[in-house]
Amino acid sequence: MRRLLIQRLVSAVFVMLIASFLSFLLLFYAPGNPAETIIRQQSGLDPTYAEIELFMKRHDLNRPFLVQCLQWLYLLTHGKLGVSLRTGEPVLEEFTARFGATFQLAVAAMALSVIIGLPIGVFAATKPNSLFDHIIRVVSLAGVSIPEFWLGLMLMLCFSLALGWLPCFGHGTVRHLVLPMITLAVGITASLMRFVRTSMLEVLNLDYIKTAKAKGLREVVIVWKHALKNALIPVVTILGTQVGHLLAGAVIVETVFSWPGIGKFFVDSIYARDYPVIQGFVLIIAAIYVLVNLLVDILYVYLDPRVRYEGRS
Amino acid sequence: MLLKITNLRVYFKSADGFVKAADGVDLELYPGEILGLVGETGSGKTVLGLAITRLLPKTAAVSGEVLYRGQNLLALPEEEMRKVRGRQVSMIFQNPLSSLNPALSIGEQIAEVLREHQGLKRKAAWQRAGELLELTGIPAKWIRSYPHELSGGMRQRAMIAIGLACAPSLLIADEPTRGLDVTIQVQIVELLHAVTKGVSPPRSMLLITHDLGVAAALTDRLAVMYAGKIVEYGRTGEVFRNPRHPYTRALLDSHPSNGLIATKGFSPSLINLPPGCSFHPRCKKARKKCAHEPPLVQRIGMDHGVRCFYA
Amino acid sequence: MYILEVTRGKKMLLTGSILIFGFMALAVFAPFIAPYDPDDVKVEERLLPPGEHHLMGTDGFGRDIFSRVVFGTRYSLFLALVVVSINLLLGLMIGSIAGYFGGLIDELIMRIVDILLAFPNIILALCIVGVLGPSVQNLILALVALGWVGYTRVSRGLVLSIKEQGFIGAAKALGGSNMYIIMRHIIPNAFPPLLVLATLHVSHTILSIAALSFLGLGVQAPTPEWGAMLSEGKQFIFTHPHVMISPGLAITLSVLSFNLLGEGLRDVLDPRAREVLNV
Repeated sequence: MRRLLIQRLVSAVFVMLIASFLSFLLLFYAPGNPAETIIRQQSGLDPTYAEIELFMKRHDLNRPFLVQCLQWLYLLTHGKLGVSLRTGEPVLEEFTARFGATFQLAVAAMALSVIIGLPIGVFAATKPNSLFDHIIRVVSLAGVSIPEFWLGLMLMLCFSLALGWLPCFGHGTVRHLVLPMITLAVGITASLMRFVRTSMLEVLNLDYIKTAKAKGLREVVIVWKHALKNALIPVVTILGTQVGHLLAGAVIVETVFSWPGIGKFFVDSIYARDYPVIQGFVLIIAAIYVLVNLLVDILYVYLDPRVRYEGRS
Repeated sequence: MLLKITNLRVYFKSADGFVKAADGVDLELYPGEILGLVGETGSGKTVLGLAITRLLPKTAAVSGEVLYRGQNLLALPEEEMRKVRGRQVSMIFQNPLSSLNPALSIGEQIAEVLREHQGLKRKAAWQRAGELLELTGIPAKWIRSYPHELSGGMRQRAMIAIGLACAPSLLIADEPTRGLDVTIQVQIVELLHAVTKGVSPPRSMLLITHDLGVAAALTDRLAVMYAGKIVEYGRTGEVFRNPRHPYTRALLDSHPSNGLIATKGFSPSLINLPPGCSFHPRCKKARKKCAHEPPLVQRIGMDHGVRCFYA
Repeated sequence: MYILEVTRGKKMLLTGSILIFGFMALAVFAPFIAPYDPDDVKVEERLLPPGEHHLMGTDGFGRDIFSRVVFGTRYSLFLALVVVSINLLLGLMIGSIAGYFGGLIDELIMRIVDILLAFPNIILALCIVGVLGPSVQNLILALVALGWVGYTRVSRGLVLSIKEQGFIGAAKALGGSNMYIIMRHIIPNAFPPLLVLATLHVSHTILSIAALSFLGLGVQAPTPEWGAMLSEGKQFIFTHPHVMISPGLAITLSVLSFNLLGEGLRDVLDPRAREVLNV
């Protein structure tokens, strides 16, 4: 098991290095001069040649490719992601200030998905081809087909404008969280339901379920203990890939609901060509993704005693 | 009488017609007795075992009567049946690797039966689980291990420990020795003997097997199954010494100790059974009548019956 | 049970195919179906609610929304099909090379694939479009940048199993060149399973294109692309919600039809479902 983790860690570092290099490469050869864009944004005027020159010098934007690249890597090793061209604040601080909001949204959506998707998937699997199963299948297919940004707007229209129950913008109270959370959760819930159903159906046909029945255990115990414990193993790996979906969804949902997280900040930075922020974001997203997948691996090992055993020997 | 099966039929609906896995089976099992059910793969032995405990898939149509202590199990409400399973009638399946839950420790798999049926608390149940492991020859320190960590023989011992947990009066063992090394097979046979004949009062067992050696070593009586029907039954020694049905004779002849003489042909598909006696296409003694008229069981002496016109 | 799965699969396959066929027809015959020019700006008719003359109403510039949705089919469907085709072909080529030659080339390609697979692709797509500037070419580039990876992985697996079969050895013995064998034998055999995968990816791609366009980073505003229409209509959501409803429904329905088709194909083809029959 330790070998597996070390292997994972090494590949994680490797992924991060490649990700940062690629993001750097992309931005270096990007068309358009960021200095020009930023100055124009800040002053509202077309910048003069001298102004641009000064801006580039101040932000080391006129050094050769390799120098800039090494500089970026050097700063990275010291935990510095550079300074936002827009706000003048260190990128890392900009992120830490906003990460809480995104984390809140993502965790809430994930929790909601698991709370709803898991039991429904299990029920659908215990009654395959029943009316309930068919309805769930249609609903989940619709769930993965609805674009998040549109769903968010429709929910706003319904629950804020028409019914006036919930606020549509802003952040702070639980009431503000509801709509963005639901929007983000719908797609994940739908795919989770489907994975759980498929996985449960497979497990419920195995020999050891027959053994459990022969032992005279209650159906509840058979389904929720004997079957689910095994069915969850593949589902957990799926959750890892869902994190990518979650991050991408957060970018869109935060933009729609003006949720002050890193996703919205990222999109704003793209509009503004705030290169250090874009680079930093790519790196941080890669880091989160890698970290979560590492956690998933650990959880997997915990859930599946067979892997645990092989790792030990 | 502990178990009396009368006219049991199990049909599966399939795209090509009904699969008659059991077609009018009668069996009797007395307290403390070990009854062997032998026959080739696909003769319906396993289905019979599952029909008794009502563990067949919902697609199976079951009719007839399974009287356990005078109570028809087939008519019992599901919740009542659940309380019979594991407490009064336990099953031991073949292939313990796939029959044990890979995600639960063997201790848990034993203890949960005790908690369910005997209302033991967690600690007491684990305590008893350890004793059951010891009883079946697994050191109690293995209690926290998972099925894949055990050897094949150990897994089957754990299966037996689960089956014994609530001291049931009837064990149904389905091919308990299949897939094990010969030396391990001997150990499992000895263990099964110890937990049935070696307890007081002796426990009954229905032993489903294709292995005549195992059947000879363990059983008091024998029932031979062919194509969903019992074709011969009798005391084990009597059947081995004096097999009367041509199929029983062929089965005995095919055993390595008797020179491995193969029977011509294959066992029939349970969908399209030949008319008359199901065995007649393969039977050396078959005559005209066998192809038209299904034979009934003839009693040929004390507790010995055979389903053949010319026995 | 398997039979049930197959019948259900067939039903979904049929529904999906009919819907897709409908969308295709809308795209091809758009000029005949749409009652108005989708780009015809009429300020005096702006933001009309759905009614007799305008089935889905008009948008902020007085353009007929129904006509724009009909023409939008062309962009969404066409772009998604282009992206998926490029990904499929690219993935098939690279995967075949990796699987066929094996060794160092295989090792190298699969390492890259593994790293790229570990990255959420819409984020990278956002970066690429954001940096290179929003345009249709950059949109395609962004969706291809990581899109080929999945197909590469699957094709490689398929090629590895096809390679083991006798006829490849026979072709080699007869003196076929590597290129000939890949093009003539391996690719045609790996193609059908990949097509199922591609069907499911069309729906993902439609969603990605719509999302990027909605953010203003894909197809640009005056173009009647569904995502771009929603982006334009966003400002009217509270005053004239009808502007937002039809394009969103169009996206959902088109994605759903490809999901139905892919799902149906999988039900009909999945061999694992067969095991259920063996009681």
